[in-house]
Amino acid sequence: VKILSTIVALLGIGLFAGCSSAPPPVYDYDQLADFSKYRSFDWLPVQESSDAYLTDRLKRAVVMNLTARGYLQGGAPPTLFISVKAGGADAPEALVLTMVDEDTKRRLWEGSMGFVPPHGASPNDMDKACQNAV
Amino acid sequence: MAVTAIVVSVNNRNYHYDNGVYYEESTNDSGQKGYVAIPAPIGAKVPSLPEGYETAKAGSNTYYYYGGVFYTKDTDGKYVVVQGPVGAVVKNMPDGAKEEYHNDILYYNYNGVYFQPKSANGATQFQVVEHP
Repeated sequence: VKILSTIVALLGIGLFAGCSSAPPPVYDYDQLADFSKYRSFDWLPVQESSDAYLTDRLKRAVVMNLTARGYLQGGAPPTLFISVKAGGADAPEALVLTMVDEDTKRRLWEGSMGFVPPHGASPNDMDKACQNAV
Repeated sequence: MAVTAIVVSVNNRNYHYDNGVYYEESTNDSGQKGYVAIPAPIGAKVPSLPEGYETAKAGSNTYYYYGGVFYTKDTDGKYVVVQGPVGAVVKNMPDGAKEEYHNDILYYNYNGVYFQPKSANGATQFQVVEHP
C-alpha cells in the first residue's frame, strides 16, 4: 500500500504543482489485501472516453516508477492489472488509477486526483511535468 | 455505409452488414434516412468475416470472434451470430467495452456480453463470463 500510495502521491505532487485549484489526491484500498505479493503488472484497456495523450503520459510515468521499484511488465505473468482514466466524459478534470488482482479480478486500490492542465502548458511542459513527478 | 454492405435478414427484419459491423435504417428528427450501427443481431448469417478474426473454444465448441461478436460456422460455411459463449477466451476486446465493477469485481460489458481480463500465454486476454 505504501508503494502504491507513494506513486499516486508523487504523481499528484508533480503533475498538479501548477494546478492550485485541483483538489488533493484521494485513494481507497482493500484493507485485507496483501500488497507485498504483487510483483508484476499489465495494463487494462483504456476506455474510449479517456484523454489519449494524457493517458499515455501517465502510463509512461507509472511504468518508469514501478519498474524502477522492481515491478515487472512483460516477461512475467501480471499479478496486477492497472487502468488509467484521464479526463473525458467519465472523469472530467480528473485522473483515476485503479489496481485489480489478476486472479480474483477484485479492485484492490483506487486513487483519483483532480486535474486542470496549467494555463498555457505546452505538450513538452506536460511531458516534463509527468517525468519530473515520477 | 459502404457499397460493399450486404443485406442480412433475421426474423423478417433486414439489417445491413459490412466489414464486421451491422447497421439498420434510421430516420433522424429532420426526416432524413440513414443507417446507424447496432449490436450484432443474434442469428444473423454472413458469408465471411473481416481479416483479423479470432477463433476461440468454449467447451468442445469452436467459435469465431470479431469486433466483440461471436459466431459459429454453419454447415454451408457461413458464419452465424451467437450469444457470447461463457468460457471463451479472446485476445482483443472491442473499443467501446465499458469497464464496470460489481461488488468490487471488474467486468467489461460489450452489448451485454461480459468479459474479464486474464493472463494467458504471456499476454492479457479476455474471457467471457456469466453476467454479474
